[in-house]
Amino acid sequence: MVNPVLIIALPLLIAFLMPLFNYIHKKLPAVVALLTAAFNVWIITVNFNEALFNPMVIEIGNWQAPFAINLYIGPLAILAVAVINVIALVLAIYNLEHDYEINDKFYSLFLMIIAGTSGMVMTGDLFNLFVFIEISSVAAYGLTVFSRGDSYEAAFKYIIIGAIGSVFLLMAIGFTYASVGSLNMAQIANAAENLNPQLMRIITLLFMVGIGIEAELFPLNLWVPDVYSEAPTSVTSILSGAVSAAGIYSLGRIFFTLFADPALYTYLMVIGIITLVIGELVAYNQENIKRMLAYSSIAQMGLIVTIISINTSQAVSAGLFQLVNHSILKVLLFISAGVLVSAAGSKKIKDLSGLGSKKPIASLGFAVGAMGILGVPFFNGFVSKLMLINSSLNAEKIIITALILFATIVEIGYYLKVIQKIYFEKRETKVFKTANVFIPVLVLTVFVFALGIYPELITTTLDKAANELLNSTEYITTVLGGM
Amino acid sequence: MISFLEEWSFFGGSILLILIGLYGVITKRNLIKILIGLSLMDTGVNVLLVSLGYVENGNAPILTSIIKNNSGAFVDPIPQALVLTAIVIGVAILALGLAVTIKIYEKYGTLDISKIRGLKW
Repeated sequence: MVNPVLIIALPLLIAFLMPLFNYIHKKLPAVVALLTAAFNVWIITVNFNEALFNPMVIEIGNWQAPFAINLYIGPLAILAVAVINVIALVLAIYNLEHDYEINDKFYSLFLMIIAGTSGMVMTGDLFNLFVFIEISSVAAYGLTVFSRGDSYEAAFKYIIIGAIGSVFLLMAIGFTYASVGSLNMAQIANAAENLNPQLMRIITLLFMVGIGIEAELFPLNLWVPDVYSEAPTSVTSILSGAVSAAGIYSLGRIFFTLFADPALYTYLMVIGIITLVIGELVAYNQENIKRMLAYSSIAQMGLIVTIISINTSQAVSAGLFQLVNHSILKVLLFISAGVLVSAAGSKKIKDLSGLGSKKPIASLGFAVGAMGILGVPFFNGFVSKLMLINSSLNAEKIIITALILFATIVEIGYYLKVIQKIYFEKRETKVFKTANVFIPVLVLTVFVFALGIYPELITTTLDKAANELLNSTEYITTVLGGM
Repeated sequence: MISFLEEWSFFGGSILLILIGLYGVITKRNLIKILIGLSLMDTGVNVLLVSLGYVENGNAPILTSIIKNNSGAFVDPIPQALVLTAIVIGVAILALGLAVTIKIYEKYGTLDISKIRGLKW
């Protein structure tokens, strides 16, 4: 067993050593970032089975259970951390060749985002959750401005909204501490049923505001389209694939493990449905391809929150599968769209015409990603959409089933519009030279088809993760040791 | 009346500070003033956290040796530790925000958000 603390500690260490590597050789930071991400993936593969069947509790500094700041790595955490780090590895490969100017500072912040999101997912301490959220969002603010131009305004907007969110998050943590007297998640979960329900409702709403910013929930997602359309491609991808996934994970942790009150799921469901409907409808009208993908990402987050709020084990595992698929597909879409945009020299969808034969790999990547989101058979999105519809029908929530189908129809509208532009129109204007994205697109496409044709690869993990979310007793006894 | 003020001025005052900051962030058109509002919100939440851990007549935490007879009654140290971290994070965000403001000013020559094209609220 390799100690999973290294997943957080190593990227942080390397991040601050980046100037040194840059001093030795200009090309070294990219390679070091790649190696760090690969090392993280290796740690996760080594620990995967143990975390799945025998959740690990790592107490930092060897203090005893309720006083220690602990990491909890169970099925849910290992699933999320695996998704985050695989995405980070793919993007580190993508960063070796890129269309925009980046330097060692970029890699420092990139590694900090990996450390922050992995920490968000693994931590068992409420205040550490706040610190890791801030690490990843401050790194994200910094990364946004790397493409210059209009990105400063996007970054300013992101900073303001993110900082307001962090104030609310801190208030929620303060009230939780004042009412429970501990910051350990297991102890809070243990004490939650004795809490005043009114107070609990206020606390969870404050948490929803604070974390909703990372999880792209309405109405806190005003920064998403601006940041996603202005930031460099790999930043957009990691925000969409890793940071928002970690946000949904923390939201699940707080709403299911910590404050498991069925009355609260109505809030989640309402917010999720509003996010879904607004996201899809606005995405349909976008002319800018990156903004379109950003709104599609918002809609997917809304869909996941809606389905998780049904609160049956089938629905939660479907939601988690959709989350994994969304991370894979959106990263694929953003990488391909980034290449298409720099080839056309414009972000407008109408300027992308006829790139299908000029940029075959990126166009194919975009097509695969779009089909996956739509849920065409043999793509991973098909299996998860089937599970979503199945679980919402079993829970007798016909409205949600109808909404999922409605969302799919709108998605067909706007994704096929782009595919039609790329493949079935002639190109008259010139094509710019772009980076080669063969390896990232290949890796992600393999994941898409592997999960689509053989979903058993992941279903055990998903079921165990859903079980962990819905049964907080196991979590509590594992951390506190039957106290 | 006085006892009521004593009891509630910490909570009420800090919540008021947060709301004043929020009002500033939402209504002001000047980038610097928005950041000042943000800083007020940060301060408000820090005061709130410290006041949550306050104990009547409490001493400075942990150092028991200098207080012989009343070692149990010190203020809760954990919120203070949290606030130290939160202050550092707040300063980092503020510095980053000001740096971005400088860049926006270089580009547009104004700090008024209604005149900055890309910034749609």
